[in-house]
Amino acid sequence: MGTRTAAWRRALWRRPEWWTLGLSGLAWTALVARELRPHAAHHGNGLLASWLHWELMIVAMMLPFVADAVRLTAQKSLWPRRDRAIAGFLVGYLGPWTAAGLAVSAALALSGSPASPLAAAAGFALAAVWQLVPTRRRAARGCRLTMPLAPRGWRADRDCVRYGWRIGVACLTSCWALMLACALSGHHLLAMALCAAIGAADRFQRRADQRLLSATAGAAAGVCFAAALLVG
Amino acid sequence: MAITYDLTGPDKDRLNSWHWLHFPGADDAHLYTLTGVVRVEFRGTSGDDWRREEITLILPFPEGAVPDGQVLQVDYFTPSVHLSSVFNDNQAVNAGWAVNAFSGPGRPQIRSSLTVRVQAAVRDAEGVVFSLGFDVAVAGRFVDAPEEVHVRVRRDVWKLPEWDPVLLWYARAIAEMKTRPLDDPTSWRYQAAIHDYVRAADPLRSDSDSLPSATEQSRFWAQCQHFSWFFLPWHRIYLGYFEQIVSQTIQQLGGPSDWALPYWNYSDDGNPSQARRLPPAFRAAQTPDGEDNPLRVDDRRAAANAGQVIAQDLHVDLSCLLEPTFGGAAAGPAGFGGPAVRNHNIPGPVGALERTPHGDMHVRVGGWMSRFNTAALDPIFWLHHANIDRQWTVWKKRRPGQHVDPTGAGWLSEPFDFHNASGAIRTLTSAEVADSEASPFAYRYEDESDPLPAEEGPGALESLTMSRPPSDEPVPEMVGATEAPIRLGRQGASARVPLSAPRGPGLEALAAPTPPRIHLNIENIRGSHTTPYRVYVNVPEGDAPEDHPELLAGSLPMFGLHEASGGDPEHAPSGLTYAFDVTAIARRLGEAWNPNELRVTFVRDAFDDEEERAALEAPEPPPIEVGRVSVYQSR
Repeated sequence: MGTRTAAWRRALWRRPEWWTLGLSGLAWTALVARELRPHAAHHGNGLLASWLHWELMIVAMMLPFVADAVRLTAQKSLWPRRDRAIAGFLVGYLGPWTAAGLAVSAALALSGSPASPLAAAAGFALAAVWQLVPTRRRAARGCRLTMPLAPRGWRADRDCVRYGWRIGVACLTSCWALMLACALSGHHLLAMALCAAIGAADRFQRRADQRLLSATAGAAAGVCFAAALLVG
Repeated sequence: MAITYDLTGPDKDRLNSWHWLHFPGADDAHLYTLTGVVRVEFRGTSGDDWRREEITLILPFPEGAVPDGQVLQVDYFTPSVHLSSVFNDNQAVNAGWAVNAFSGPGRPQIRSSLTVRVQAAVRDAEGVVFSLGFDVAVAGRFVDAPEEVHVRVRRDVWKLPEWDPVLLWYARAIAEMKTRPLDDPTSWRYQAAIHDYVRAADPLRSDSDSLPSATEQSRFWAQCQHFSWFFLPWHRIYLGYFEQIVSQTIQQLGGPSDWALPYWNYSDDGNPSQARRLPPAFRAAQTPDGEDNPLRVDDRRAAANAGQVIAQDLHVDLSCLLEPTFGGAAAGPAGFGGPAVRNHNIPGPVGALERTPHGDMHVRVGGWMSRFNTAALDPIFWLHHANIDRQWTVWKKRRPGQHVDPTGAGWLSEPFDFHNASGAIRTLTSAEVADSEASPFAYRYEDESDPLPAEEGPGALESLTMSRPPSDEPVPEMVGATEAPIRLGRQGASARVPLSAPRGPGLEALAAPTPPRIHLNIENIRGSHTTPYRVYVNVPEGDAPEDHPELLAGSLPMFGLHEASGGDPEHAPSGLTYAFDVTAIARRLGEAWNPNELRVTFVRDAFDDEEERAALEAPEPPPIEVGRVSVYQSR
């Protein structure tokens, strides 16, 4: 190592979560592309299609929220296995969300009715209530959890997956209602953008104004309800 | 160490070849150049070790230059300072030197003098006495002199007589504040609850309490910032408003208007027999007024109230002042002020100052002071935190330009809500209190000098260089960690950390001229009972750790253990993570440092014999669990 390392390389050292955010970007691109493609095959309401759409939404919306946990997982791992550690974390993290997605998709498929503005209104109203429940706030502190990670072998993989899982459970408990509202809106881009904004305001501020966030979700419920009246 | 030469007064004989020039410019601007040579008492040492000194020069400004009632508001300031003559018994010798010169904080206003701070370092120059040449250019405009701001001076409590008026008035004010209702922001208990409050565990709880509304409690109570880089600014604001409230109470009682909170300097090497005892005014049963003494709290360790020495060297250690950066990393090195937290991200290890001496002294006083939710009920809390706040100023002053506060909006603009002495709500940010004299609280400390000897520093040569841009900051790489958790009981514990060679950023250390920096992280420490430990590294097999003070990495105070382990609704139950810089130990061991394995030994930090006996007779508390021990290497 004669010469000083290139600046871009050092920047990547500092940001091992770069490819996680890249995945999120790709997922957003796929979601936007789906919306823009007119009447494509994806409008099938099968369980699988619905569940895939949910997974895409989670990867797009939720991965930026765990960028710091991903970074920490890499920094607390031995250098050669840092990307494997991140992969383990992501597998664990997506676990609870995947399970929730299956449940939501099954419910939607069974009910037979596609997403609608009225359903979205109900979803946002539920999110507005959930935002203020103390259980949610207590669970949300788990989003900033750290855990010891074994340095090598299968235990290291196990611990990374376990860590991702625990963050995933905290995340799910905190944000399930907002994600449900998105699903009930048919993964409408505006709904997803709004939920991402509410989630970000909650996660990335030391003292988020819960009443304001709840009111925002409530306002969204009102807008959806008005849309439902206009349509129906 | 620091020396000041006041060339406007007592030291003016040291000034030679002094002359100045004045250049009036456009738009009422004025440029002055000041040139001269100062004879300083700065003796070099022989050999390769750098000897550093911080020299403050108070230079005279040309007499009559500044009109009456006005000051020169400096817009532009270029100091150039150099070591000019070097003499050793009239024989010139070669000396390596480096000089950085900085003015005081902010944009200075000059009436009759200008302060220049110089960091000088020499080596290979035994016995010589130096001269400093300076060439300073100052440009600015004349403005009306501002109103005098009265600056409070916080005094060293051990330099005051037992019942100095400062302490007597403090006691009287507390007695008065205790009569105010719980929901009055200027009451004693409300002020304490701002730190933390658990109703069920409130020792002064009574059914007749009038609690503030839930909204008010959630906004103003239990707000103490711990385990993050907001620790220092939040506590500065907390103490600032507390001081104002106490001062106003004192004035209402007929006392002086310039009361300032004293500080407790337990690290004072100049007063070793007394500094580590609780000052007598905090132990006496009664005040000179014949009243029950509000400064005394029974719920402390018996040794504290008996006036015994309650701390050892490692508890009052000030190596936190050597930390090069304010904000700590997420893993590896701790910062001076605590882990950087941007956008409420997951924090790293507890900051160096917050760990020692802050956490240690909370636990050494014991009782209320050892728990978050009762600590501020003990009047000594405020003097303890005044001393911690003072270290912030000391840290910045000892390396101006290098030891700097964070510059990002994430730290600077973070707002904190409090009540002022009139009960009105006030919001302040970290930026507004970064300089205590310029802050709304307008105070300074009696002694803000550097307590560490000049040679100190894990990389004395390194710290002479200018601070690096963020893109060039070293990136720590983990080179080893334990596989399984470690239980710490009465007997302590030990563990082996297998180390591998660095494969990434840690390799930069091998190409650097200075030895690699090695940091130890004791991660995810969880438990319910605050039992402090010490940690040693690489104690030889079979040896008692106590026989190797040179291998002591530091103290694990465990202050806040319960809150960090799930006992606090604001904190994730991650437990505490502490960081230790073991670079100096590694360098001292030299060949004996094993690059393949590091051994860590935890020893329970016993209190005095009597407490030990009582502790051993009591049932053993549940063990504290250390999640992992890890080792980081960086440039």
